[in-house]
Amino acid sequence: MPEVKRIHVIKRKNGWAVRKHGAQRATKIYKLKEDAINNAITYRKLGFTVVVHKKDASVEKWIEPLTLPNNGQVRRMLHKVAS
Amino acid sequence: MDNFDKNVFINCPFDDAYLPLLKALLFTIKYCGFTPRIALERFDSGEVRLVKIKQLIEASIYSIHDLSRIKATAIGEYFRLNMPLELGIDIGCREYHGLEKYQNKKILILESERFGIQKALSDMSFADCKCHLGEDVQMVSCVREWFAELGIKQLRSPSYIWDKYNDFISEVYRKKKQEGFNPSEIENIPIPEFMDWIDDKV
Repeated sequence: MPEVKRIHVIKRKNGWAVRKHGAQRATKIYKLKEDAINNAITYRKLGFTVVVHKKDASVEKWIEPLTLPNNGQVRRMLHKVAS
Repeated sequence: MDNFDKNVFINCPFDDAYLPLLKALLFTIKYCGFTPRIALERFDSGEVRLVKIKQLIEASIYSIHDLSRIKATAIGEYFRLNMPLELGIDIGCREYHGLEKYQNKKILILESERFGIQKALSDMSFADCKCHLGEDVQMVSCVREWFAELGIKQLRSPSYIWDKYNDFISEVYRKKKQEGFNPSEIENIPIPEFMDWIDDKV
C-alpha cells in the first residue's frame, strides 16, 4: 500500500497534536491549535497534505501540498517571460 | 443476526448535536471488535419502535446507555424520557428474563456531568457511571476503559484508537469528496452507511 503523505492536526485531552497519517505517536503536542496548524503547514513543502480536524474529529480544513514546478515547466515559464 | 456475545446495544439521543459523539462511539465499539446495535441501523416506518428496541436489547450482551441529554435545557421543555425507559427495559431484561445469558448482560451508563444521573434517577444511585464530559475524545476513553474493565484483552490505547478514528474520518472525507459528496453531506451521512464505511476500513 502506498504511503499516505498526510499530516493531521488532532484534538488531544492535553492540547492539539500534529501527527503523520498512520503514525503510532504524535510528532508534537501544542497547547494552542493555531500553533499546531502553523507547525503542520511547514510539511506542505515536503509534499504532505495538511488535514485540520475539529475537536469532534470532523475535517475543518483540507490543505493540499505545495507543488514545485518540474524542469519542463520552469523552462516553459522562462521561455514565456523571455518572449 | 445471531451474535449475542459480540453485540452492544446503544441507547442514545439521535439529534444532530449528538451525532459526532455517536460516530466516535460506533467507531470505538467496532475498533474494539464488537458490533453496535442501534435503532438507526435500519429504517422501516412500519416497524413499531419499542418492539425493535426490545429485539435489539435481547440480541445484545452489552449495552451502552448515554443519559447525558435527558435534562431539559430550556424553560417549558420536557425531560427526554425515552433513554431512561430503554435503560429500564434493559435492566428488566437482565433481572426478569430468566434465561442465563441475560443474567450475564453488562451495562454501561454514560453521562456528561459527574453525578448528574444520581440527581435525576435516585434509584440508580448504586450505579457506577462514566462521564464523557460531552467530549468525543473522552467518549473513546470511556468506552475503551469499560471494555478493559470487563476483561477484554489486547485493546489498543485510547489515544491510539482516537488517532485511528481521525485517520478514518480523513480517509472517508477524501474518498467521498472524490465521489461528489459535499462536506455537509459527508458529516450528516445516515448511520447505516457510516457503519458500512467503518467495516470497510477497520
